[in-house]
Amino acid sequence: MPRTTPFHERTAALMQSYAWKEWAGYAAPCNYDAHSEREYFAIRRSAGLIDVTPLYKYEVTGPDAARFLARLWTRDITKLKPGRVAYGCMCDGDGMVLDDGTVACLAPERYRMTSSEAWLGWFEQHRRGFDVQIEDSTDRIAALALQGPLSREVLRNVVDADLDSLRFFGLAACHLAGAEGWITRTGYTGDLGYELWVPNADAITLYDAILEAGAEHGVQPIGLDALDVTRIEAGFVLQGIDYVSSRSCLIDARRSTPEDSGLGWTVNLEREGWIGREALLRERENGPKWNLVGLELDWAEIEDLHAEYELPPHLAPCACREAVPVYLASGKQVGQATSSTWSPTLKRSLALAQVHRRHTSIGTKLQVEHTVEFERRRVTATVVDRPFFDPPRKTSTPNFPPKTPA
Amino acid sequence: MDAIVIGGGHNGLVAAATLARQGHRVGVFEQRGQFGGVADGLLHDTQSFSPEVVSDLNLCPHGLKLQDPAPVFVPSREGHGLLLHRDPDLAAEELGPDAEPYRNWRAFLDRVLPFARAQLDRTAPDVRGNASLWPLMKTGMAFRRLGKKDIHELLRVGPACVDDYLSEWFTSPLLKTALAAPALHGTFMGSRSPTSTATLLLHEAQVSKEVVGGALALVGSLVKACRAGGVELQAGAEVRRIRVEGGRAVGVELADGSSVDAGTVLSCIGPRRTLLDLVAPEQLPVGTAGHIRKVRVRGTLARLTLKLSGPIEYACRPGFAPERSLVGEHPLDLERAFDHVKHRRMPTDPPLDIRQSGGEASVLVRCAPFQLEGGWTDARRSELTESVLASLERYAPEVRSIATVTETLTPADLAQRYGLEGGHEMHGELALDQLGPMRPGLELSRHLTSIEGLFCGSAGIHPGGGISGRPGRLAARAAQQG
Repeated sequence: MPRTTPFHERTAALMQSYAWKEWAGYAAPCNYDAHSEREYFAIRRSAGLIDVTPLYKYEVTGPDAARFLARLWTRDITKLKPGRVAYGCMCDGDGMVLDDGTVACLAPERYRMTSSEAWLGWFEQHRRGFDVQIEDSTDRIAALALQGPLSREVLRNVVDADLDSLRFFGLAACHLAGAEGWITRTGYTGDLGYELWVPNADAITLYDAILEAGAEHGVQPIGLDALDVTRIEAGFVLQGIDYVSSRSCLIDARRSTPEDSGLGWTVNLEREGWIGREALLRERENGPKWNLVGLELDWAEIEDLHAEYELPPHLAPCACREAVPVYLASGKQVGQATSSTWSPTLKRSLALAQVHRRHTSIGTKLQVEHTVEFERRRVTATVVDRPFFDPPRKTSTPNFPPKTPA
Repeated sequence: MDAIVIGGGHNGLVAAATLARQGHRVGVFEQRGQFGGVADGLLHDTQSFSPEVVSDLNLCPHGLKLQDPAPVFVPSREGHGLLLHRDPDLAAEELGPDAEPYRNWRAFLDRVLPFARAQLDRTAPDVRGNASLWPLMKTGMAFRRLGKKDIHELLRVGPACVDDYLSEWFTSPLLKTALAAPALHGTFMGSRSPTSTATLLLHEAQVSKEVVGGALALVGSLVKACRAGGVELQAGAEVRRIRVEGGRAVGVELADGSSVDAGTVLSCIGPRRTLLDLVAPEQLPVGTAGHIRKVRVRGTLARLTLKLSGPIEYACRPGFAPERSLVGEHPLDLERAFDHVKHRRMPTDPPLDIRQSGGEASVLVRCAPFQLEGGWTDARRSELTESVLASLERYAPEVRSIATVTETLTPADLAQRYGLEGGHEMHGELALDQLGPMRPGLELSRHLTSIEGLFCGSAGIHPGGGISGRPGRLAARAAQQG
């Protein structure tokens, strides 16, 4: 049976649709009412409040904490300064991705990492030789994401951090509705947004304070369905969907290198001593096989295709996680589209796809399987830049660089 | 310095002397104040020491004298006990009805053990995919030359437990116990554990002559051989880190912060400590680290040192003070002792391996779990002392009046004093999956590591063993070949 998060008392009361799903052992809302559309638009037009407590959280502390994390992560955590957060991935010894997530430097020798799966055993395997303590704080720290263009305005009345100076991937220790905790400028929506971290005991107070402060801004509680649409618009991969953790793969072919899963940018092969580097150096020599690309499906073709069956074009009610084959015009299969969605903001049909390296340059025309009336058909898809949706507000900071009085 | 040897135990000294004889300038760094490692005040039997090392290093001019191993006396509570010689002729009178089977068994061993002995004195076969098959084929052919009957017998009994196997040959529980006990040295097994026959054969293959004067005399002549070769011996010098640059060992850093450069580093401490503690984790391929972490090192050894006002005699044979004796009169006593280990309990009535000479006795207990439930404390150490004396008293009632315990070393003490992970005197349990090419891995068993210029040569590496010098000798050879 799934467990409940410290916010459950509130989220359960708001839940109209009974649409719960399991997320890392916790019950998590898919959408609060019949459809996620209202929630989606809250994220893009106002701000959405998401309970992200089920993210795995680890407190890594001690003199060797940075060295230890730099050994496990593709990012050089020894260079991460207090008050900053890094996104990256962890690989196994074969250079295959285990998981992706963030590492935040709370203070010197004190880090918090997040991941989508549990990795305590992996840490224990590799901790010898490092003076480091590791604690799974998933059950102890409640986490909320407030994402959307108005999130900063809403939080002004809730936290005492200097939000105008808090940069993208920045972190501040502060009071949140009176409780001591942290705010990070991170998220999974590709929008302006924050994540808030407080002890479980302060969870409800914070939740209420945000909804109260957000009432005049149209803040909505958000479920995972709307989040899924926004993360595809933002071009973010999801472990278990767009790539499979090397640990859970039954066959080698299922495993992905960072390059294969669109995480190649988090890797610095020049840096020594991290797990997976040697294997990835060899891969670099042979040339990576796959890459993750953004695809835009040709809407006119989708419409025509449905017209052949005398059907109106059909829109999936939410993001689709069923992988479908990707072909060349010749009919040869060159990959698979792993996540897809209609983007209500961009008015475009989007997909993330793992495709053979040779066919990944921007503008390449591919074919994606599309089923109409139980018949497998294909529509044209063009390789386009990721992120699909990338508003300046995502990264801009009003007071950075700091304004000096004239 | 051409080569640095980490750890001045018996294997470290053998490795250093071997390299020095080839003209290398060698330094040995030993964290303790004395050399010899477990041969210095822990293990007392030297009968496994390799004759190849004795001749390679020309040890006899350095004062080494060899003799046939002393017979072992097994006292009993009824009857007169058993004094067991290795030589069947000398043993015959004591063995009675078992004399003839014993002669036949020794004859069987004499046929098959030269094959095993040859494997112990050479580098483990390279069974990685890209290796030459020729050495493997040679080994295979030598095995075939044993003949169908003996091959079948070896394959049949190897996986069996030593109690069952010895019961096929012998009736006397005392005889079976005397033969089974040393088969379990360094293992995590009892006499009823599967594959303990294989470790019995391994033990028998290692036994040859023992050193007159015991382990300390052996250490003395190894030190002399090192000095004669110009080896720089540094006691009280703890190596804190093996320095690695660009995937190559370039020297060591000592605990006092100083650094020593050398193109070759030969570690004769345990392979786990070498690779997991002395090499920075970032320098070690994750596969090697993953493998070495699986090596099991659950120690079971403890030692009491007794000061004697008179020799230990046993009630079953008054007036006789054997140099070597073994307390435990049935193979099941060894199994019960292992039950204590398995369940992490303080042993009661533990079997004992005793050696006395010159007013002193060394008592080895091989069923004291390193991971004792609740951990080892001063109180638990006293409890162990009492348990050992009580066990001995059953056969030697006068023992408390003649013996004073001068020291009790628990497995935790051994870990501390000798730097043994898990308190394990062989840096890795003897078990079928931790022997030969698997001791402790396909690469390491050949004394090589994934770091160029770094070699391993302790008992944790093929062929293992107690005070044998074999891993040190083979590691020095590997280092010479680069």
